Amino acid sequence: MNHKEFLTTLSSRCGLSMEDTEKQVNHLLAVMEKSWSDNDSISISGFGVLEVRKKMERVSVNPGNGQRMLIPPKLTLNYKPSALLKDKIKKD
Amino acid sequence: MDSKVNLSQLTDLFSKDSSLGKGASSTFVKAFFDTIVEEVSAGGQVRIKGLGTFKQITISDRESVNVNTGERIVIPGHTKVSFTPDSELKELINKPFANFETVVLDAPESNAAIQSVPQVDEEPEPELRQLEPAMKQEESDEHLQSPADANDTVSDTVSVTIPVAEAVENTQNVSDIVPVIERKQSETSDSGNDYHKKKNRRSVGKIVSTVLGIILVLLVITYCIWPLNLLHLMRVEMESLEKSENNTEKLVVMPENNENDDINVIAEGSVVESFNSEIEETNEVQAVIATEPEKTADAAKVSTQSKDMKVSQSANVEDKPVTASLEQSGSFKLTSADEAKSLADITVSDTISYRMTGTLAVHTLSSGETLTKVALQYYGTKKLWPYIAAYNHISDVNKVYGGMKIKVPVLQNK
Repeated sequence: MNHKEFLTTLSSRCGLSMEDTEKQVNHLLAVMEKSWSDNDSISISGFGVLEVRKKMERVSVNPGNGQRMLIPPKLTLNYKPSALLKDKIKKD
Repeated sequence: MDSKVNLSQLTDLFSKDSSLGKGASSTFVKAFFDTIVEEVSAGGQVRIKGLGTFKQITISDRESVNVNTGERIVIPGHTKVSFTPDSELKELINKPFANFETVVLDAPESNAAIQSVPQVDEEPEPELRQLEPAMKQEESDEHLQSPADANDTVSDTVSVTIPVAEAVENTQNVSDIVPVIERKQSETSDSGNDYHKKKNRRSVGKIVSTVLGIILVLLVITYCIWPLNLLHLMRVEMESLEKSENNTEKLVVMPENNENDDINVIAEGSVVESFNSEIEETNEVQAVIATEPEKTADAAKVSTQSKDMKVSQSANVEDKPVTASLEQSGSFKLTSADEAKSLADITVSDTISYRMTGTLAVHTLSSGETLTKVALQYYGTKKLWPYIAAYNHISDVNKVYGGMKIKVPVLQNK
């Protein structure tokens, strides 16, 4: 399901036009981004948790030429599915 | 900040700025996530621009070892839901760490490279400008050669904010760059580089510590053991004093070495002391000089000299506070040798033993008078009272009474 399809599904569910849903989706994303920048995690029951996690810097080696590189630390958006969703997946 | 936002809170935040009402917005948000869940559960993937992709991932079986028993086991495969954020979102999330770049590490060929501060040929990154050059180089070199520890909380250490604009301008290729990541030096964990550094420091440290240890030992010896030596000498002196106190009848001569010399010097041609006697009771007024046989020759001298007591006394007796006020009285006098000894330092009884050769006087004790007072009166020192007690065969010196007549013996040096 690509983005367009997603919007279509959403709009039909909410009874909004495509434009509106697009707008609302962007707005929702903005809200979520704001919370992530505040280092808050978003936890939706039945869905899971979307949180920001730090990753340490590390040295990685290019196996071909043996060159060592220092990869800097970073922040990543991390998703942890909820148990409900996991169960659903398991059954399949 | 560092808290959880649940669905209702998210809805509230959403509905604040949304054109939708509260009801519509809550429906919307719920629908948003439900759609994702449904689609993913169905096996499809959901791609949302500005967010990312949710999809199922199958993980195949893999061989492993049972940790406890060691036998080989198979971990069965399973499916999981994966999420990969959009590149835009990634950058947005990583904004605080945006200016960090991955860096090529030089191979640690030798310790020299690790220990010394290698030359940095490339143009320094903007971050470097924020630190002092020396510090930068050191830090950067450490980073160069130190493999990052996965356990380091690097993000915590990244404290310096970096001007973004400069970084963008001056960004160089990864392969060209030599370090730039800042880090608190103290938090550099065990890396190969540090290990080498520590190793060398250890050997130096060992030498330093042994030297310090030797110095400590020497100090201990000088300040602890040497004073004990002095104490020993003092103890000897103390013993001699104690002994003399205990010994009433027989006194042992144990002068200090120092004073021996003085005594010898003064003894020749010294003046015999005489004691002040308030005594009108004494029969024998004439000086009875107790001298050693060798010194009888001096006796005559002494007797004549004794008349000039003030002059002679002052010459030799300046340091004797007790005798300073004494006048010649013709009563008992110490031998020249004894007199020469400073009473302040050595009490007569400590260093001299006497024979009792005759009666010096008969003294009637007044009420409340003690033998020590008598001794003082006749000998100039309280310490010779035991002689009086012995001469009079007084068994209990506490039981002398007023009116008792006692004989004061003549004390002759042994």
